[in-house]
Amino acid sequence: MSHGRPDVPAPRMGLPDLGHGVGLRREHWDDLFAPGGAEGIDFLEIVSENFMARGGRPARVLERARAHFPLILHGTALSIGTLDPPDTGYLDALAELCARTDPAWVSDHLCYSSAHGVHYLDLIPLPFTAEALDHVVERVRGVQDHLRRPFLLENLSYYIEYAASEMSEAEFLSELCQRADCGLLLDVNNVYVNCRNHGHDPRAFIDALPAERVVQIHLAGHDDQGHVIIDTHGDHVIDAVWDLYAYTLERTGPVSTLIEWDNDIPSLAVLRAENHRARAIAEAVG
Amino acid sequence: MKLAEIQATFHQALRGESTPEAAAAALGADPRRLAIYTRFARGHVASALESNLPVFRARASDDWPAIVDAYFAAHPPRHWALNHAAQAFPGFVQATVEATAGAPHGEGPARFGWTAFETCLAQAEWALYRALSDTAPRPGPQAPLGLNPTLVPMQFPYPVADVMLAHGRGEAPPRPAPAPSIVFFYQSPATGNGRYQKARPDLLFAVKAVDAGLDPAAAAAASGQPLAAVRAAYSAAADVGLIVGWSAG
Ligand SMILES: [Fe+2]
Repeated sequence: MSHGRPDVPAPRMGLPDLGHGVGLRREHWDDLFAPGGAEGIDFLEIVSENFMARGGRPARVLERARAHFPLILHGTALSIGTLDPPDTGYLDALAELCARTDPAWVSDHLCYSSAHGVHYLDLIPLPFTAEALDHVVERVRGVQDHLRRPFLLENLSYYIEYAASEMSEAEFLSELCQRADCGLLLDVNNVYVNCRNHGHDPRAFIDALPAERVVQIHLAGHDDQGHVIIDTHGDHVIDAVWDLYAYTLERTGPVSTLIEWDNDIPSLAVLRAENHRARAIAEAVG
Repeated sequence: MKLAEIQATFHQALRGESTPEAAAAALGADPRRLAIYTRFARGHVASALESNLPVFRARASDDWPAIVDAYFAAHPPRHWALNHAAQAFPGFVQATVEATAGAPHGEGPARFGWTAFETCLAQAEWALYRALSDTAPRPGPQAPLGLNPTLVPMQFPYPVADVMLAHGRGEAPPRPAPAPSIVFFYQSPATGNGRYQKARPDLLFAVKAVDAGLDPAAAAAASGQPLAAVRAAYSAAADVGLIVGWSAG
């Protein structure tokens, strides 16, 4: 994808800047479509697994959301790094959801969530090894072939580091995006959480990423327990993460930004206020 | 260390087949941090059970953590959807009831003290989840008279709907005496939400008549009931969403 000059990569891999969005959560199904409910919300991110079934109230809400907002799909169960065979049932359901929602892109996490035929229902980190990189590159290509949509992987928040890792996370992500030709969903809160939990420098991490591959940004709150930070998505974004967001935008240019809030979900007004703050920062960066 | 070995080592810890300490030592990781994942893996199964079987969970009170442990060990989640992690629970309860029949109370799973009533309760709560996730197309406004396409009637040897209704009122009635009952599980045509409805004679009559393709006049003729009573039964069934395409006017 060129950007006028063939040697300059297009920002966001040429994908659109959708503005500032929030996740479509059950708690807001009514408020979102009430007068004024959508103010300041430019797009919605759908947790893919919550809407794969075609019936019931979720399907009706999805139809309505589709009529009012640009949608993007964000999954948690693709298990891109598992050594189990690719789950074609899951991929078919995801492709069917794509057909219903026409998302600008589809994303999931750099992790695995199933192995040995068991689903852990959680995101388990991968080691940053050449072997894991080869494996994930191949799996991403398979997903892209199946979905025929732009595909992003998100940097995971992880609580352990493997002794087996052979490269940094940023090196792994850069190689992965390059070789698989996929985008990066950069979770800035995850960068902060990981750097605090493992003693790394968040700005050096951002600097080491391919800025033009960052297609979307996540912002979220976390639970700082002192000895460890748990990535709860259950609170306001903290100031240090807002600062890191500004630092990131200075490198990437404008990028679709989403506030993630999945636990202790507040009123839509609180989410709109967080969105407003993100927009103000993005406008200040210019 | 190869990826396969890492995933196998992590798997054992996540399934409780080894300790976080042993896995962490093999992976060169911090055991307290690795234990975050083992807690999460069990916690997700617990929350799938708690959100889909709230009445069962409330009645289990202090036994609940032990029940979750036994279920988690016996039924690893085989599907990516969180709610499906609860799918095997009715079968787990039934198997436990059968295996512990006559066993001394207070030992192993026998200490849960389950009977066939607990099997019914788990089946009923899971039937409600199945109804709300039914993918039948929504009946349109011009739908002809017919059954709600998501309707599933179930027969139980206990009045299980009464216990679920009592729970909804904040009550915790004792285990009821056996008494056969029929419960309808379905999606509300108006909202798409999952619902259950204890079968009353008028509702049962309307569901059977509509299922047989009878309009009110034909149902009145076939049953010998007055037309007004038949129309009232159809209206009652339509009000709660058991039948669609009926307008009392
Ligand atoms: Fe995220």
